[in-house]
Amino acid sequence: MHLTPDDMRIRQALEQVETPMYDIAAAVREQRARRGRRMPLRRTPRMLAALAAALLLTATAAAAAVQLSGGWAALFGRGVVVPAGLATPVYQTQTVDGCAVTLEDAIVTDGSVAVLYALRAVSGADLYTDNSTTLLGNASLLLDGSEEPCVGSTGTGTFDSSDPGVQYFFDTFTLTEDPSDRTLTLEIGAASLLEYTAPQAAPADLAAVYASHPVAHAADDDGSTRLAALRQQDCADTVLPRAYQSPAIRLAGVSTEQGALCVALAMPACDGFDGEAAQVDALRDIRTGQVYYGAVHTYSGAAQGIDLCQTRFDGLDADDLPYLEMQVSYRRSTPLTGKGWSFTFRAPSVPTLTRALALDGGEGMQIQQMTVSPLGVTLAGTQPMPDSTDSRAFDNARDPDVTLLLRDGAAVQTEARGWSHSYGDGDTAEFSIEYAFVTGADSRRFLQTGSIAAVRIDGETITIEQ
Amino acid sequence: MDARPLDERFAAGSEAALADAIALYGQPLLRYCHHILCDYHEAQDAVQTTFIKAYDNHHRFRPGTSLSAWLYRLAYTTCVDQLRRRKRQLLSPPPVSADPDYIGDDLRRALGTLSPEQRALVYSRVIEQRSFDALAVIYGKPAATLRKRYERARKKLAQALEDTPTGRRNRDYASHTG
Repeated sequence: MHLTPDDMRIRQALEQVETPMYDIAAAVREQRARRGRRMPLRRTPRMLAALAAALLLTATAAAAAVQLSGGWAALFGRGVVVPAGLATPVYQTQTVDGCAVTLEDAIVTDGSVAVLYALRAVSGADLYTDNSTTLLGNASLLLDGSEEPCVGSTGTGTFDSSDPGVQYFFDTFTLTEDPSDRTLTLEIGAASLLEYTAPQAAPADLAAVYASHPVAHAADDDGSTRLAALRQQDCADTVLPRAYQSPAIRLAGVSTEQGALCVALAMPACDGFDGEAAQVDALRDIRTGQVYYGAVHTYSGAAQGIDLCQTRFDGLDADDLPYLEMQVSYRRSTPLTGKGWSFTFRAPSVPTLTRALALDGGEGMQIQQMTVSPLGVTLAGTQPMPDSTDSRAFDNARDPDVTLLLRDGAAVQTEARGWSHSYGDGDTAEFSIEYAFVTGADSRRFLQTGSIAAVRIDGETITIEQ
Repeated sequence: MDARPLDERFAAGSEAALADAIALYGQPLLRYCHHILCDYHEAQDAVQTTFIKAYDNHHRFRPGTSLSAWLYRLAYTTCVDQLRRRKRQLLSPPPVSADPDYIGDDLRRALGTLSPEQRALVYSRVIEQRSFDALAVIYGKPAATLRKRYERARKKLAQALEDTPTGRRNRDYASHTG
């Protein structure tokens, strides 16, 4: 590409921006763990795609709403609206090994249960720091002691931005039966502490390791084959940055694989809640300072009780090895509690409204069903099967505009938050779009379905009878 | 080992493919988000959100097309959403936070004269050296349109850099020595 003098000047300016490395993989793992377990939806066999309701909400300021737990504002924005009487206050607190979980509120509909709960350290200690965070185990919901009626769940979690000593969670469970005034049990797995390091330089002689027994993997080699081959190499002189603190994590070896260089670490198998792990994030060329980031793959159980974490660097080869320095990051999970939490409660359910529709959504979309619950609106129907070569076929499909009109005359806006599509045979795909109610202040709101007078979809008004 | 290409494994919802995609594209996307948001910590949030969105919507990605372009598009929309959520108007300079975000005051001020789209275009063009055809795939707009927008952004940023104290010093120095 030809750069003009202005381009060059801008480039020089932008190159001054320093973007330190960040353990994105750990952050994503942690965020996904916080959101709770995602159970597969039990749909017809044609439905290959599970519902992806991405309730990715970030921390905001503390609660402004009167009589509401601060968790609502932390999770859903300072302007969050929860109508009186919609959320059932539960306020049960259980403390396990110094960690207190409070089940604060529940919104129960005839087909779902949403729960808001908080984690705090009894000591008042912060739950996250620059290099650690507290994780809760998976959450599940039992109806009259059975997990069977629960067919799906989504979850989100956030720290209170004004208080690092509390972490809030909001999980929604989809049920096949009306849970009204039946025994509900929320079970939450044990808590653990995840500590992580920034990538650290590991000045090992990778060329010597490779030269001791050159290994070339085939693409379909499994973990045990790879580890067995690497065990022929001499890694004895290699000292990793945390060799003293984490002696069981060691360099497994250096290899090539179809135009790529691979560097692997071996470590005791770790279940993510108890144990330690490490990975080679990058290789730095000591001549130029250029950093190469690789693709990490962990082979669990490559040998009895051993995981192999191999990082692949495309475009590098064995000739580069004398000039490459490893960048290794570590993470350690330590159980904080010996067991989890279990809360039992009952609450009356709020009805949801379901309507069969026959609306033309444009571009071949047929809207066939609308469901309105206190949590949001779901539209379902069919649309043309996209061209399989177009990666954004569904992304580019428009979401119908949905607005609610309340009986007091107010209008409530919505935002599409979750989409699912089935990829069956034939020319049409089934879709489901979930909308959340929002306020003008970029916050979410919840509604009593009895307060809704009408739903407007793309200008078509569907009246809700009382 | 699953020997399928990364895009195929990602579309199939493989956890390992998510890890591989993060390893391959994570740091470049972090730098991209950093330049759009002008805030390192917000960029960390944005890149994390990008990968979670991508994984949640893996069924929307079509193997055989560019996973990188798809992720950049998601990252861009995530950054814009993040700016909207935080009530930042497109033309206002990103605020200076208490934490270091690794951008000097002059450059921050200059970047603040650009919209998020302009910052994204400038970064993609001069740092990543992407062609306008490649940018069209990411931003879903015709290459010719992006070329015009980039040229406007370049002119604006070049002028803004010129107007910074450092730029003025360099200019004065050049005029004294030239």
